[in-house]
Amino acid sequence: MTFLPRSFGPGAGRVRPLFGYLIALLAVGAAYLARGALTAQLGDRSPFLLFVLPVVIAVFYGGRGPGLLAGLISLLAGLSFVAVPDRMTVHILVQAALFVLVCAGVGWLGGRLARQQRLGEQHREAAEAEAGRARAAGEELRLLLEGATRYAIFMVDPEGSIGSWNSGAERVFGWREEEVLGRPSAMFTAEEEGARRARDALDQARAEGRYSDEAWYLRADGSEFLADATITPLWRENGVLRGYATIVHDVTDRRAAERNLEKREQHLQSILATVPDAMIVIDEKGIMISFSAAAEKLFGYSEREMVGRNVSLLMPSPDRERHDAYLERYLATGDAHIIGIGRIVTGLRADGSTFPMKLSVGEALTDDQRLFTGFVQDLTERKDFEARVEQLKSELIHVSRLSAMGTMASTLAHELNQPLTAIASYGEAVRDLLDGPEEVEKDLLREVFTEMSGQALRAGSIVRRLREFVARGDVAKTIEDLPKLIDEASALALVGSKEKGITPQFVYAQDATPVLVDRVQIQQVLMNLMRNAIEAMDGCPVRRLSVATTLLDPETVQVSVADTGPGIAPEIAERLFEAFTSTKRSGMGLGLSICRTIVESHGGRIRARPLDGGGTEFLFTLMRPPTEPVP
Amino acid sequence: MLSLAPDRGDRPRVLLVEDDAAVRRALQLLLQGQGYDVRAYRSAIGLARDPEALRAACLVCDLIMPEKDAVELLGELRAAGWAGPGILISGQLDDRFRGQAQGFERVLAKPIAENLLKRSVAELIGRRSPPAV
Repeated sequence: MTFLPRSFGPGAGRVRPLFGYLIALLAVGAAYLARGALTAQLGDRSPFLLFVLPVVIAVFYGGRGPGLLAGLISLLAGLSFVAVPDRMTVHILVQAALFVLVCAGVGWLGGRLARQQRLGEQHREAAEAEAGRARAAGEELRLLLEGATRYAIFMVDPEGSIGSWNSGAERVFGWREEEVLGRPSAMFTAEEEGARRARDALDQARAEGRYSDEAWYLRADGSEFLADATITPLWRENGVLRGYATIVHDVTDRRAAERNLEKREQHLQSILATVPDAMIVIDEKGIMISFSAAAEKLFGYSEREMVGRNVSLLMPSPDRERHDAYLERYLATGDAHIIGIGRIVTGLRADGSTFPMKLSVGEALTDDQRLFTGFVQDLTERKDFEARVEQLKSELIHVSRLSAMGTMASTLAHELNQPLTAIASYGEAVRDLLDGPEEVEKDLLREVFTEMSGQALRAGSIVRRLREFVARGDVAKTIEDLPKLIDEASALALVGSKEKGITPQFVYAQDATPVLVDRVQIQQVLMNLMRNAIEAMDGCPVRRLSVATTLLDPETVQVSVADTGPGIAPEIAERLFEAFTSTKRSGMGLGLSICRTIVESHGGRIRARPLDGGGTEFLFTLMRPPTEPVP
Repeated sequence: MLSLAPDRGDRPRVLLVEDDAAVRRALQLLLQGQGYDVRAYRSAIGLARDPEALRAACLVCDLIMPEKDAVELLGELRAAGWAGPGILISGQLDDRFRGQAQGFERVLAKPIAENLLKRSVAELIGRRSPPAV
């Protein structure tokens, strides 16, 4: 630089104002002395010319203020070299005016120069700041690229050669930077696919602005991995291709795990599609999460209707009202009644009909929720079949018993006839003896009467044998839960009852269970009574079947089966439990007699009584198990 | 070249050598889905000189490959000190004899029953069930 400071003009003046004015005064003073020294040569010609110099110096050093000061003093100083009388001549005035004009021009130039200098300064500062930011961003980007250790990130030039290589790329591919720089990116694709795939990928990226695909890549050791690759073309501002940014990520594990899951899912789906049972998944509030196609068919609802609703709408009363409580109880106590066990319950279809079903429930506990999966097996057909078999069986029992009784009766008649005949003949003989004229010997009479009582005892033993035959002696008793036993029997007995308009009602006393019974026999009694009740109510305005249990005393439980039918005719009521008594046209009149036999063989009693307002109630008692458990 | 790439911890490594890309990739996904660190190669060339390959817990190898067959490869691996079990996969049934005679633990016929392969690898690696992914 010259004598000019790096920063000058008004800017510098503002910073060091006194210095500027001092320069102005000194410069003018120096010019005055110089002009004085030249007076001999110049006289009063060009009095102002030399003073242009101090003005220029003052403007450059001090800015506008010092420049103005230098101008004014210079004007006066210049005039001092002109003789007083000449000062007002046109010649001098024109010179003074020109001087002022030159000074103004110098001032204007100085200001302009200063402004440009200032602008230049600002630009330079902005450029430096910009460069600093770019450096920082570049550093951040570099750290980011190096930090992405699971992602290979590299640049490929327009010809397909590798131009940069991050540490992630070293890890993913197993190649060091110096080993790959300048080599074709096709070195990562399997040999049999050749360089074509790499070329195609780059071409597609350039044509479409981006290329993304999953493909197999080669590592340095020749082993393969499945990669997710993204290629983005990078353009210069002038539209020339600079290269391609490539990101490669090893997804072999992820894809393998996904395939694994898919296979398991397919397997599960195939199982579910094969199982004929309906499947319903609920959460711990009883809200349905899924409803299988088989369930749609069975219940008559669509999955769309069912998801989000409470599963209790698939069951009739009283389960419908109680199901939420069942769930709560299970969640609170862990006491399962169906979960993991399976049970026969009654389902309710969309059309309001009910059907017996076997329900098995499994529980799945995941991180955030508990799910219950219910498998429902429709027992309607099976129950129908079983009911028919039961009916046939009991008919068969009836018939076989009937024929056995027939045989028994004839045998009995024959057997009883002998002692009775004997008794009759002895009786007649004694009467004849007594009627006769002769004195009857006491010994003879004793002998006859001994014989008669012997025959009577023989008749008695024949009758006892008959009773033993009817009572069927052996019963295999076990401890049974009475409500469960009744539920199972009713599921069977109630088949088709919904269609007949029967409303079943069950009231179980909590303490009236368990009981010590032969389950099959007592269920036969219950079925018999319930089916009788249902048949009796056929055509009645009110058709309600009530089954109730009560605890009579600590040892005895009473079961009641009541209907709202027409009741029992008084003439039949007395002989109700005797064989061959029937109110039914087609009945054989053995059902209730068998019921009585069974109940009595259990040590209980059975009776019937008319109900107020019509209907009949059958009551029978059962024994509770002894306090000590039965071995 | 770096000592190898992704860090798969202590997952047992399985070497898979099969020149048919479709079969190789399907098997790689299958076995990797079982939690193994699978190294799949198209060719057996140079494998026995790779220290990383010698870390494998099991070898699954196709019998017939262009440059070098399975029996040669196993021989080289054995010579390099590798003592792991080998499973030979082959499309030809009478290879069975030769394979077993040449030191392979199992011979599986192609097409490969996936479950059989999974079970064989798991048994040979000495785990009763494959490790979870």
